Amino acid sequence: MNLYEILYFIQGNSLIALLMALSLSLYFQNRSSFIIGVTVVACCNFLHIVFNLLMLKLFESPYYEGVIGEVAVRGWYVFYAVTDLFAVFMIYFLNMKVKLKPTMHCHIVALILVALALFQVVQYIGRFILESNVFGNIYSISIPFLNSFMLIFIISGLFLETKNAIRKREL
Amino acid sequence: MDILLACLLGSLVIMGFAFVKLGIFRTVYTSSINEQMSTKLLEEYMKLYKSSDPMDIKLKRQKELHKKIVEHLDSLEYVTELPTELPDNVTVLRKKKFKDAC
Repeated sequence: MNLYEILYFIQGNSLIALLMALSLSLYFQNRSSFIIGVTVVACCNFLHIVFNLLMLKLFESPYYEGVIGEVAVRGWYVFYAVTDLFAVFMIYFLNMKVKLKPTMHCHIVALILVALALFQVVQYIGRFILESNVFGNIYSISIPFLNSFMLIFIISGLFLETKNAIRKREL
Repeated sequence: MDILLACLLGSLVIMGFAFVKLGIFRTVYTSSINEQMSTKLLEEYMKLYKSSDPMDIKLKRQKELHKKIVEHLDSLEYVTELPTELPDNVTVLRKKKFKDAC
């Protein structure tokens, strides 16, 4: 298994890992801006998985040939970019609504989501506007790398926050 | 495919639970109602506070309203922004509420 395959494996199982970590954190502590951020990321991940399944179904169907297929491939990048940016908006919006100040962890997660959206936009420009695969390699490495990094960052962050919450409860 | 669907449904349940536990549904849907109610009650209170009604009627109504405001503030988890020109008793209450919330 090379690094590329490891990154794809982590990315593919990120929702399960996120939800497990989230459930444990929710059990041990009340609410924090980071947990709200993680919940939003999990929702975003969920949407991506559902969208991915729909797209795979479409690619297997005869409708894939022609205009629908072209729109679907373009929509692929747009959907990912829009959902990532919407997730960033939701992180700050929900934190504002529950009157919590976003922590540094929360800002970093939002920053990673913005970077993911940016890579999607760059690949879209490269593929459909410049009509070349100039950003293809960067795209196929950066997306699983950023997703894996975010997952590891979130799990370690949740672990630290939960540890602190348990310590505070014991005092 | 069935396993996948079950996993997705399970994920939805966990995310729903997270939203409920974090109080996001409650806060988002009730905050606007609470803000409207706070403003309405306080407007009436301030109007009466500045009015030229006879003292006994004014005090009686003021007391009633004050009680309502206290009850309303108690029902809130976090106090929303209130006018700064409030009488001392309400200002003290607001500060206390903020302190409790923090």
